[in-house]
Amino acid sequence: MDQNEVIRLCEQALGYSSADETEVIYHEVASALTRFANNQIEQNVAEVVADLTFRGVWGQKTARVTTSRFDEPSLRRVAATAEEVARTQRDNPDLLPLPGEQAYQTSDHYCAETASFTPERRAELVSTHIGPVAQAAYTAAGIFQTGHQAVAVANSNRLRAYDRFSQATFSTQVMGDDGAGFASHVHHRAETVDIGALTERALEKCRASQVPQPLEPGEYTVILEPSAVSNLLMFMGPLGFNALAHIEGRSPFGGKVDEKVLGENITIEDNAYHEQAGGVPFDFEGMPRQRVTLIDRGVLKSLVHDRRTAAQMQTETTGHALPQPNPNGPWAMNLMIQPGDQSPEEIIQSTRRGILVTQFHYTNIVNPMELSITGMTRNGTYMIEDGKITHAVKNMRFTESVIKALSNVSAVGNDIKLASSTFGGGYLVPTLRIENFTFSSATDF
Amino acid sequence: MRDLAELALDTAKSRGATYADIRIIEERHENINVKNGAVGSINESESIGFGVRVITNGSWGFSSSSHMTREEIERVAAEAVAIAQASSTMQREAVRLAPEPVYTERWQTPIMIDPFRVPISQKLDLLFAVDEILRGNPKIKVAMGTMSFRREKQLLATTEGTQIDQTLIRSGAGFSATAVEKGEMQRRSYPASFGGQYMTSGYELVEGMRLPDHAERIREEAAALLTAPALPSGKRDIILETSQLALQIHESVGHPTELDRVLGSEANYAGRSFATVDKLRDRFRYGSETVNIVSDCTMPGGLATFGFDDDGVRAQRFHIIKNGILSGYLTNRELAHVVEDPRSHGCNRADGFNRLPMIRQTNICLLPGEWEFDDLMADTEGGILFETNKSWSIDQLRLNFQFGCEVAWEIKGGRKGQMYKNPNYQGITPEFWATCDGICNEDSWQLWGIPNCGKGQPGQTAEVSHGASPTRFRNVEVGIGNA
Repeated sequence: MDQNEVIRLCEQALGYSSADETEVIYHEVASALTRFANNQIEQNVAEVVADLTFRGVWGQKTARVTTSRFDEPSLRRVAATAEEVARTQRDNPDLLPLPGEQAYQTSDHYCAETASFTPERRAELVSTHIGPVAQAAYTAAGIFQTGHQAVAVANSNRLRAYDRFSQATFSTQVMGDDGAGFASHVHHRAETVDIGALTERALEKCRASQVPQPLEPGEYTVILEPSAVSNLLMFMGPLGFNALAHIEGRSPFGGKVDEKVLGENITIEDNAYHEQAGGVPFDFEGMPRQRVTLIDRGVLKSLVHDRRTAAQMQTETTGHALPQPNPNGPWAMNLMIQPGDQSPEEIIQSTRRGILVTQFHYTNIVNPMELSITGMTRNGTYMIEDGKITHAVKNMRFTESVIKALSNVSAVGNDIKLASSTFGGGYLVPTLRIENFTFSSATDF
Repeated sequence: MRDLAELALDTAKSRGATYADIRIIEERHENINVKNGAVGSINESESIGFGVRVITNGSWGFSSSSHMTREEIERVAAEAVAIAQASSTMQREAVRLAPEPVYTERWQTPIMIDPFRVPISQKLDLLFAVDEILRGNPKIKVAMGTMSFRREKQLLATTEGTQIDQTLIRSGAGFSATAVEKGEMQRRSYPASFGGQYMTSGYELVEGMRLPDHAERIREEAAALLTAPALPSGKRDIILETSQLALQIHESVGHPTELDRVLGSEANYAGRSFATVDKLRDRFRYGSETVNIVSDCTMPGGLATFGFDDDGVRAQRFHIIKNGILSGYLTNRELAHVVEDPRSHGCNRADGFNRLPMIRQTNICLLPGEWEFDDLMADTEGGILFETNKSWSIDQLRLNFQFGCEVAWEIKGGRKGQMYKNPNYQGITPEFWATCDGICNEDSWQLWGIPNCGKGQPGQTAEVSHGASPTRFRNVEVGIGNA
């Protein structure tokens, strides 16, 4: 559906409401994905799914009902069900009236060609990747995904918000007998996916990963490439910058606004409007999403808010709401670490002894109040001696505080990259060199 | 619906498919969250859609849509064939399916109380009763109670002639208390973390948990953890209670024995497996002789308890580990031949209509041993009892794992002694299972539901279960990162 059709559908649903106030959220995903492994295409799938969430407010009571059926009887039924569910509740004193009309910035993250990429074209490009990998006697596994999403928020106070964005993701792991290499690219324009360069990068990493040497656990200087850095930010959004976590006393940055919490060379913002990001210019309340500086040269400057946390902390929303009401609070979805002035090559060349990490795997929180996390290295871990990569090292488990790590950054790369972290999330981050980073145990591969 | 299914299969065949199936899925969800004395959220949702899977030129193609019209069925079936044709340009070996009888059957989760017929007000009353008890200690800053219900109606029709109607019903509930004081935060959950217990069951599951009866203990344990010492670093004998052991089984036995993962299909995402096919042939020792682990989709209550998987294969029970030896993989019709199995083990499942079925974990259970729980505790003087998962992490080959729990106790005189906060333990999968030397009997055996198992690209969430009784492991590294 195009923008006009989506808004008409939202208005149709609003028209069936008996509530004092009503909000409708529309979400559409059209995605196609080619998955390859063992140097052949193993899955090739496409989907078109859309749903509409109806939320009515009756006095201080509210309820949400979601449907994927857009015919009149279904829309009338969700409106009636929402009322039925809401009427059974106690009053919620924290419930806010819905906002009125808003003005939005444009995000310009939609590319029609990317949204309509064909399976034949994806297969053709995947073949240009697999060919050189097979020729080098290595094995590739990865994905090439293209598609688009559309989001709309409309309410009975005349608020109307609509945006759509496209996405192309290429990711590959190239494997040899005892080591692997990795390369990926995420962008809203498929034409930016340079298969040749990505293939060469993954091959180069794979070659360098062979014959890895064991390494004793302990503290090391590490150079984290963007894919690894993104894992450090995974838990900082929900715990560090979420205003509700601060209100509830469960944030490691609690009560520390305007205090230095990270190193002076670290500046973090939430920026949905960056050219490389895929952000939407409004949140799930329909409020304009702000570009927010969260950490300015190591000092905690701001949090992200929805309208409820903003009211509780007597400030303005930053436009980071999840669908309301929501027990999880506001969410920083487009975190970005400001780049520095050294190239990744210069950072390596200026390192006397350290470990270069391509990617982390399966990171998870260990202690939320210290923001300590654990995870494994993956797809290319190398020893650096006297400014050069000397050999691969076997994979290591790290257990480390993100706060400590981002307070010990000795170099920030100029290579900002949109990196997906394992199991969700995407962050704009540069290469970082971190001192005294703790590897807590080893593996034999 | 059957006429739409026939249309999809006819369209696929006429376009050149040598095999096709269609799954029409209708789902209903209800999720309720009560937090700090107020409704956190109440979400009702429903969806319907279909996915068409075809084999053309020896390759898979799949397409799906939520628009239930004849025109869309024809478009999607044709697109699935076109996708398969594109895939076949990069396929070395044609797909071949293990044989399975043709079925025309109906299957439904047996339930006593339909959870969707229980009034929301009754559910809220129960959660508010728990919430009030949890907030009885001022150190509790976040009291959270949840309920979750799901009904999935499936129609599977294949060009082989199978037609299966299934209705799966799942219920879940639980609560947690988060205590905060002086920059410290600790959480306790009941009956397990991340939403509690989930089973294929009706509302009788929620009633049987007697949630309010446990709220005071959980509240006070959360508050006590604020001042408890951290579990010191070192090597200790440990006993894992059943919900933590469920996740240990999930990560270190379930995922490594998914055959598609073993063969490299997941390499770019969740990783591969150390439990390679040669290890099945060579009778690899996965754990001590006392370790027996089965996959059982026929057992009552499991989240992977069904009549048939999404390949149309009837539910089965089989050994993954027998007397400590690797004995079988989770398989589907496409890959069973790789390990020379004449028939699929029936583990192919999809997350909704818009996802391609893939090998998923099932109900994977550690069979009970012979120890009474009290005897095992008495025999583990100075050991550590770990309870309730808090975090998990494991490498891409499923060897090096590290788990955190909400609480641990030193075992003194056969009882819980000193309480420890931030407990964790780390190990290497086969080395860890080799140290297993005490499994409690069926009196303390418990089945746990895990509704959020992630795998695949695009991502798919599967609901799985794991059963176990409290189990002892010797000389395990604990307290990583603690003093």
